[in-house]
Amino acid sequence: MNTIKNSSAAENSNTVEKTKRKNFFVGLFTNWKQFIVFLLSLLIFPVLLLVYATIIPISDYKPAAEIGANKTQVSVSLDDAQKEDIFKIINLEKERDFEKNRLSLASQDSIYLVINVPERSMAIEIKGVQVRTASILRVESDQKIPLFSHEHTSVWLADPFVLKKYFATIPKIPIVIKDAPKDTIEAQKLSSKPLPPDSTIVLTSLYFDRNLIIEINQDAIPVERELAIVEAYNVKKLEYMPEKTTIEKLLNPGATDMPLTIRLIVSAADARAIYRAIPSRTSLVLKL
Amino acid sequence: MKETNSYQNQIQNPPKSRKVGGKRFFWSFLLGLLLSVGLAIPFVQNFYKVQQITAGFKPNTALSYTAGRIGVDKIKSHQVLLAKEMTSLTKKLDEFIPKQNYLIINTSGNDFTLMNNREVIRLGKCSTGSYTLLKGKNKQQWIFKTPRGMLKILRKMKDPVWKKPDWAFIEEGLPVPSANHPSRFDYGTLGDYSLHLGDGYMIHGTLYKRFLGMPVTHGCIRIGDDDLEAIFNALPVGSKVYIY
Repeated sequence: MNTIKNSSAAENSNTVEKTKRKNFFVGLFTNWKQFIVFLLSLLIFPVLLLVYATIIPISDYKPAAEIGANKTQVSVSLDDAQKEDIFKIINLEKERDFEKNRLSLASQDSIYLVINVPERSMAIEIKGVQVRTASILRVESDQKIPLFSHEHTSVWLADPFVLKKYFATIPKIPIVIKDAPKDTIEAQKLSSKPLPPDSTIVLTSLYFDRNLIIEINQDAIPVERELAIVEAYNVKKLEYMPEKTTIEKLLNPGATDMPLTIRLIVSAADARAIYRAIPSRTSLVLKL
Repeated sequence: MKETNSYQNQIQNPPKSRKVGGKRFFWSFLLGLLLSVGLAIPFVQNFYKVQQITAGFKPNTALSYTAGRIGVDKIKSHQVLLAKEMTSLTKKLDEFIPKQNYLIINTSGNDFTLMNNREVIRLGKCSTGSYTLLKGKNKQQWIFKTPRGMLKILRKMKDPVWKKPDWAFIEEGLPVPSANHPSRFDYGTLGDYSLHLGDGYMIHGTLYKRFLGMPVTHGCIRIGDDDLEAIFNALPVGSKVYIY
């Protein structure tokens, strides 16, 4: 008897709880006007951010170097045949700018880097002669780059980029310091054997002007003994990256001053040779 | 009369529910606003991802902008002009390729490539600078590295004799002799041939063939006997040597 009483009491309390919850929601929106007020206030920030921080910035996204050029863009309507012709023109213009930059650097006495992303190839050139070519196995480019139109990219890529700073998991020049022996006995004791070749994983970061970062990395996963080196390299990468607070992001949602990174994955030998070969003030010709 | 009184009462004392309704409007608004901020936080944190996703829906205006710059009526003529420009650029770039044979030296891989125009004639191993910094007395120091860039063959010699510089004696713990002392002249060390690149740098043979493919030299480029003979015969004086 007691059990029946208890169970009916429990059922009652459940029903009261449900009714309370129902009354809370029903009580919250007693009419549709209240619901509209709730809905409007709920959407206010997401919609504002979507318009201010997304739709407006991407409608005319451009690389930092292009800002201030103040080019007036005229948009015209095109039929399919004309679109095809414009595609051809864009490709020809890209190729022309690329070759023009190669030619301007070939006239100088320097070792420079040439990267052709569409053809997945890179090369070291000396006075117009390709001394080393490398196949790019994978390209991981910044998500912002596809947002640029040809009109903006062509201005950004108009001149060769200049290397400003660089670092890697391997030394640029593997210098060995040796003190001169006092006599022939000491000289004989000094090892004449060459050092074993360095096999550390090659991850390199090259910081160019106009907010461009090129990473040339070896196609490999670091082994256990390399983890500390890779971690130190990643920490340094973070240090070099300009940090933006939420307020700064909100003030400049276009973030055209943020660096654009293109990561190129190549073979170990290519990554090592290219990093060691390029001078500390080299130039880069890039085709996207 | 009673009805009039109750109507007056209603006007003087409006139902409490109206006040409650006003409060509820306020609370609905506040709750919505709070939830709105909550919804906005992940958006702010993933700014660039949201921009990227939205960009997928962006109509491609790039073509029409390019057409606007060129002018729709000039599309064909612009295409012809670009093709002409490209031909001229390619021709100018081709002029940088040496007309005679040339040599490419890779100092990080320690290998060489003998080239004719764009074709490979011969590939092989070599030894280049060890990047050793030798510190002598009186703050003297030498770095043993191979110079990089484009160099030219200035002179060619058969059975070359090496005139040892000061560092060669210091490195062996020997006293440095006078400038033309007989101990400075070393016969046979450079192999059968030498090709001089200037500033004392040479392409020559070696006694240490087991070290070919390794960075062990004092800056010169050491090549094995057969390869050296082929290079000596293929490259006349004035040929270009590209070192990277």
